[in-house]
Amino acid sequence: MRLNRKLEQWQQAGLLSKEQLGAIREYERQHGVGWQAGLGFLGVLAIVIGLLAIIASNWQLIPPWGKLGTHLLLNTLLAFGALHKWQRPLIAQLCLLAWYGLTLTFIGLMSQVFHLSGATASALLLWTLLTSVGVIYFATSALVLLPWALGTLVTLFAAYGEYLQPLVNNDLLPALLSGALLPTALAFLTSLLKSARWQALNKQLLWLAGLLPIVTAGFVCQLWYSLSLRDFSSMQYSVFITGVVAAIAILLTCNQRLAIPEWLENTLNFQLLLLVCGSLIVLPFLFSQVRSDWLAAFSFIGLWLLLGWLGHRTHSQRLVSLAILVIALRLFLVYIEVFGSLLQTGFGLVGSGILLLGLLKLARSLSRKVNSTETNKGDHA
Amino acid sequence: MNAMLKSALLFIPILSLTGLSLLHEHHRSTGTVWTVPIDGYDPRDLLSGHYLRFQYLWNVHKDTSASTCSGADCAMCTDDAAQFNPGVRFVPLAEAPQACASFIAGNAYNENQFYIRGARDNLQRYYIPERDAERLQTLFITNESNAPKFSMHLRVTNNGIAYIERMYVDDIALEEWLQTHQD
Repeated sequence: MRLNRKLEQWQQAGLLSKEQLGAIREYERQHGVGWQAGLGFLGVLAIVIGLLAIIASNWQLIPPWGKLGTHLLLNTLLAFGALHKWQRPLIAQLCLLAWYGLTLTFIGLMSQVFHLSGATASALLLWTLLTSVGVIYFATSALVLLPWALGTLVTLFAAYGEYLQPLVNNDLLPALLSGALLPTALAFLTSLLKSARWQALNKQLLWLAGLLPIVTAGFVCQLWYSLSLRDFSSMQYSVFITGVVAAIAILLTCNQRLAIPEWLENTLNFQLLLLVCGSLIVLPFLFSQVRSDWLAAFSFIGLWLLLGWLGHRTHSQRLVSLAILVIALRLFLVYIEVFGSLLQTGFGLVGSGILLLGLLKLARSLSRKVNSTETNKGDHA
Repeated sequence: MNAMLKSALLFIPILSLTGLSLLHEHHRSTGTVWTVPIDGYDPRDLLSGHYLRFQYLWNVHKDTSASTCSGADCAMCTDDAAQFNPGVRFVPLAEAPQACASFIAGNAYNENQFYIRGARDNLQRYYIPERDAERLQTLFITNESNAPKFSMHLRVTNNGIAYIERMYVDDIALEEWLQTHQD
């Protein structure tokens, strides 16, 4: 086993005493997942998949109310499971997650049994409306909250496409802005509530509030490559809705009730991040006739430079390292874009490889330098 | 929050969906029956996953003046007492409750183009068993005179909502027909 080998190496190097080694092994024996548990899990998994396959192959033979009734029973049991006080709280969270997912599958089953043919967005909206209060109240971990946030985002995008897009002249911008700022809006709402549970959720949402604008802005930066997706024709509806979303965003980010994500450490950083991400999302649409590979690359690199700087300011070494790595990889992509034809020759491939290794070395040494500066600062403090 | 209220957060969605299922079942079992012959869909992309796609052969009144509505907010209206392939005409939706014994709300363009309201696929697909899919498709598109005749039982509520109840082959429910015609 790799851990045992490592432990022995550490003991030989004098990093661990014999007692510590024994204690670690005992702890791992009690808390780790052994090969017996792994085989047991495989066995249960095989049985569950087998049962599902048998049910699926005889699906047509099961009476409609048999399918619906069994599904409802399963949902009910999962609801009880989510409410039960288990010795391991994880089980209740797993039940809640399954209850959340199976509510959607029940809506799908209902649609199949009754041959309903409504819009997918309607089904998703019904799912999100029915489950969100329960999930928000009972969820205590990212295991449930992240899938719920993703499900809610998918629902909002689907609802936008189905009901709002025809009104706003097929524009992507309001949807992207709303999606990126949704966790910030939800975080604002939860910050109004005082209980410990809401505060815990607020923390999770603030984490997403920092992450989602970055992901969205990173994606939108690549839209500089394409003109077709950015047909922002400045119709009054699109301008109006974008303006409303932007105004809500400004109000939210300026609101002092919003605490900040832990890794950003202060509200100013958070506001700066949202401002830059918002701008990066809006710019490709405002200049919808400009197509530029360089803008795509530099806006993306700029975003990650900001993240690296924020990481440096807030002593988050992992963020700095990540930013350096992402920038190095993006620069490598720029190289491939510019000298792409050389890749067809062996020289091009060799050159690319050497460049990549060089960039990685540079990234590592920069990261190490930043880390050692941070350690020195910490020592002085 | 007390225990009952907490439990309600998880059980209300289940009860709501149960209620919705019962409501659909009620509509599907109490609505007026329309049995409409169906034919292969053109272009003949019949099988989409486990669904058989088809088109309705509506028995639209030959006299075009009988229909007084075209476009959106129309109703396919029948006063025909016959369940099988009732004669239909198009009337404005607002007049349908008074003017028709039974009606389906939707948009009417011509006798072959009636879009049922609230049905994205126009109720033109039917879930079928995977193992019988190929055979049903062949039977569905054959032009032979002794080929089985397919029809669809629709249930239509008083406010013009249509539900698919069941597919029939030679007046036998598809599931029973498949059991007695195993090739």
